[in-house]
Amino acid sequence: MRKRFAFENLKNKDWAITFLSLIFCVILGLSCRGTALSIGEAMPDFKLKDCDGNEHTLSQYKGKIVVIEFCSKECPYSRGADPDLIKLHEKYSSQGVVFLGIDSHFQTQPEDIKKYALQIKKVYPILKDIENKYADLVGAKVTPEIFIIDKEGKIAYHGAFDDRKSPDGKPTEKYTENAIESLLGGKAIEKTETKAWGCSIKRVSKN
Amino acid sequence: MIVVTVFCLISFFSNAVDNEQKQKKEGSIIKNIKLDEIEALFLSHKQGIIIINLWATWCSPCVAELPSFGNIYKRYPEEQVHLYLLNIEGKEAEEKKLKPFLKKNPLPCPVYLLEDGTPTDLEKVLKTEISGALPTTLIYNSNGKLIKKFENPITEEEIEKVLKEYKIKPNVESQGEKSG
Repeated sequence: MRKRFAFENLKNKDWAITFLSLIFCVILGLSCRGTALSIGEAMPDFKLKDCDGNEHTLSQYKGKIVVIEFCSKECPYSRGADPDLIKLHEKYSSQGVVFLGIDSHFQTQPEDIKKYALQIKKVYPILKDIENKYADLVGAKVTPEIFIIDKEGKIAYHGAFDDRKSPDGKPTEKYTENAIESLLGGKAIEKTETKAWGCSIKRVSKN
Repeated sequence: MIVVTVFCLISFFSNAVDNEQKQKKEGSIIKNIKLDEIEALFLSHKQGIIIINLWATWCSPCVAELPSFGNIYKRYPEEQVHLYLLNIEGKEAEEKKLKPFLKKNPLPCPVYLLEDGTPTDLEKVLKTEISGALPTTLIYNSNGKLIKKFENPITEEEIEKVLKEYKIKPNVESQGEKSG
């Protein structure tokens, strides 16, 4: 009888352990979710160098609308968006909108990026995200992937450049341009979050 | 004994011929598919597993892994492995991109061209979150439950590992054959 009592006690303890681990897992799960940033959240600051070695921080552009484009010269889909990004930059930089490319590809070197940018006349800074640390921090997965930051430094738009399905495809919805227009006009952005087809950001191996 | 042997030989060859005919008939053909037809896919298979591979002709890692899927299609019984190579480039890409691509890179299996839908729309019918990075491979059981998700390139060995896990065996004639 006594033995049985002890056994039951042990069972209760097991249950308690299971319950506590469950709570632990939930808390852990919630805290890990932090990597996926939400619209309206502050965009984490960065300190990254462009291909000429000049340092840029996000905070230096506070008070301006910033269009951040995770890009890769290795990705046909990212290259496909470039002519349209160049046009958007031409159109909106005079209105104070800042454009920044971020290259997180594990192999691409700043001089390769510079050569490519000169060739296609992509004149805005492309920052090198060494070891994809910033891509990891903000949860960027593909190229091209856009984050638009409002004047307060908060994420106003995140997702696809537009809804094209191939590099030279015609978009039916210009998500990025629409979002910039809305921000400049002080209107609410219709689509604040979309998902992009693209190349996965080739990250450094963790082993 | 002789009768049995002859019968076995006949069935073996007819099987091989069937397979070849199937590949001739189905190989490289383009089947258009709409977003709302994908859900029906999950319900139409009573056994085996369903492999959905999201790809595009512009995506070089996708193109590189297509032959592996072709081999899987050839080597496994069609009632056990339901393969959908789902191209996401849309109807506009059919003539300009997909047809010339398949002419240059023929496949033993059909390819499916998703006519409409954004990655977000696709997430709903695929019943899982996807990052949008290509290639993505999703493996479901015949109840439509997702059992594996690869958001990166995949090898023939990795697919076979999953098939083995679910006790799906290759065709008799291709057993022992490594990669077609």
